[in-house]
Amino acid sequence: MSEEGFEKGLKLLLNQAYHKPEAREDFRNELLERLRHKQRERRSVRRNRVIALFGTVSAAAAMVAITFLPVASPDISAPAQPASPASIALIEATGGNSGKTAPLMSPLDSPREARVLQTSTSLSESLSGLQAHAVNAVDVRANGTKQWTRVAAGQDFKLEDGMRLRTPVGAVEPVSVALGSGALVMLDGMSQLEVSDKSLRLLDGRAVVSLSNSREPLMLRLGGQEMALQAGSMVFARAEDGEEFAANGAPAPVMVLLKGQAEPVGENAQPLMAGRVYELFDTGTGRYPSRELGSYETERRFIPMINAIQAANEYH
Amino acid sequence: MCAGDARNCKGGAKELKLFGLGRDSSRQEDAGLVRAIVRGDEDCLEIFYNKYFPKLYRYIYYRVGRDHQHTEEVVNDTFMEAIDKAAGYDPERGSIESWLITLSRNRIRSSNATVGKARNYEQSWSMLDGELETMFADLDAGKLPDNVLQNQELADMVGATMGSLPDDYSRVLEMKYMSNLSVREIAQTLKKTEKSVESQLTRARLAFRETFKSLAVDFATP
Repeated sequence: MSEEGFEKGLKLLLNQAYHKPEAREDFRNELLERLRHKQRERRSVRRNRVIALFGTVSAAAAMVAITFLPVASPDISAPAQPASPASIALIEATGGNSGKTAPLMSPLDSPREARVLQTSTSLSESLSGLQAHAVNAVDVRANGTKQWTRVAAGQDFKLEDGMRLRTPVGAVEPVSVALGSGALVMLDGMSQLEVSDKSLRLLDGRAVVSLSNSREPLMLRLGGQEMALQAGSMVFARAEDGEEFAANGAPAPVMVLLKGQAEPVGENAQPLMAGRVYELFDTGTGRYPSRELGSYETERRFIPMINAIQAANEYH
Repeated sequence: MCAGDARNCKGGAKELKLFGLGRDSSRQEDAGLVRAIVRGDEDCLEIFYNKYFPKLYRYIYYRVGRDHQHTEEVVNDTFMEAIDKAAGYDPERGSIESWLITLSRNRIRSSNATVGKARNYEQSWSMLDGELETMFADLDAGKLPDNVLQNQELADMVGATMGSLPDDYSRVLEMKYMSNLSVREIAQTLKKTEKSVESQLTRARLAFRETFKSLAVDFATP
């Protein structure tokens, strides 16, 4: 076969026989609309099916039992042991860091019993050494150790670099930890958080982080992305394996900015817009794929948490 | 005219041998796109649609007798079915392109059967056996006569072949042999090196040749 001869024949064939068909613009646009409609219909059907299964999710309810959704945890170790002064740097209830403190309202309490943590302690650049208050019982693991320690509800303790926090195994309700800066972190069932020197990192599960009572910003790390949360902000974050996938096939952490400002750290990074669900994976463009808030997955899973943490923040 | 039921079924496996596709990274990207659509992401739906509409339209057009109305019906039904079945898409089994083509084949068959084309196609193709063989041999040898495409079915074969090629291959072939652009001009348009374009043209020609041959053999075999 002569390549030159083949090219000549190919040129002849294409010019005589090939006419690239062009679709009507109207048809193309109309079909896209029909597909969107179909997609919305399918989403609505799935949502109704979920609501029927789990009962009505009331947006006004502040105390809603969270359905315990088993999620693979990166660390399922032996049951936590009760905290002792030697294991975790516990702080006496009357002592602690300088500044006026008060116990934080438990999200499970009624609004009348609300108690809010107020402190004049400024968030230093380092989280290490910052006072934390276990609103609910929380498991804590010091850096370099394998043993989880149960910090009882109402107990104060100190954050340390490399420390991990998780909801107690078997917990069906979210747990809250208040930081000395005024930040409030709520973790859903089987969630885990890591404290680094300058940021909190959600390793697994779901969290709501509220800076409504904080005058300081907070760095939150989700997947490979660091996010600067400004004072007064509130975000929902999710780091779960197997559910949301980035375009490259890797699990994509999810973040929703509920209010305030959240700015990804990085070149060309664009601030998040409130009310949209962002999938945080590196597209190289500084923008993250996002969609409107309100899909059935997010409503079912994190609106009760948001309601609880908002109720907690109303009383400051 | 394009072939009817039996031809499409037989030719399916080879038609899906689309050159240059199936790279792991793009396959994973496609998988992510489909998952996003299943979750209800409207932006991703639009991306998916804009990416695959032209290709699917072209593929179907030449298989329903170059009829725009029937093409629209089949394209509509194929995309609707894709939304219904998106949750079942498995990237391990093939690219989104091959998945859509597979979905379209039943629709094509139905459409052709509805308009009574099936029998006519079989008859037409059976008459083309000798002609296709000769034409292909002439193409290989570079001896195609100027009036080679007197037969409409042969013309449709060319269209079907181009419709089966990956977009980047059909695009460079169009630019080189229909728009008469030089390699340099193509490289500038596509923002690639000339060497890269030459390499792509070589692969595209090979893909055309193999796909045309494959289609011709499958469609002409009773």
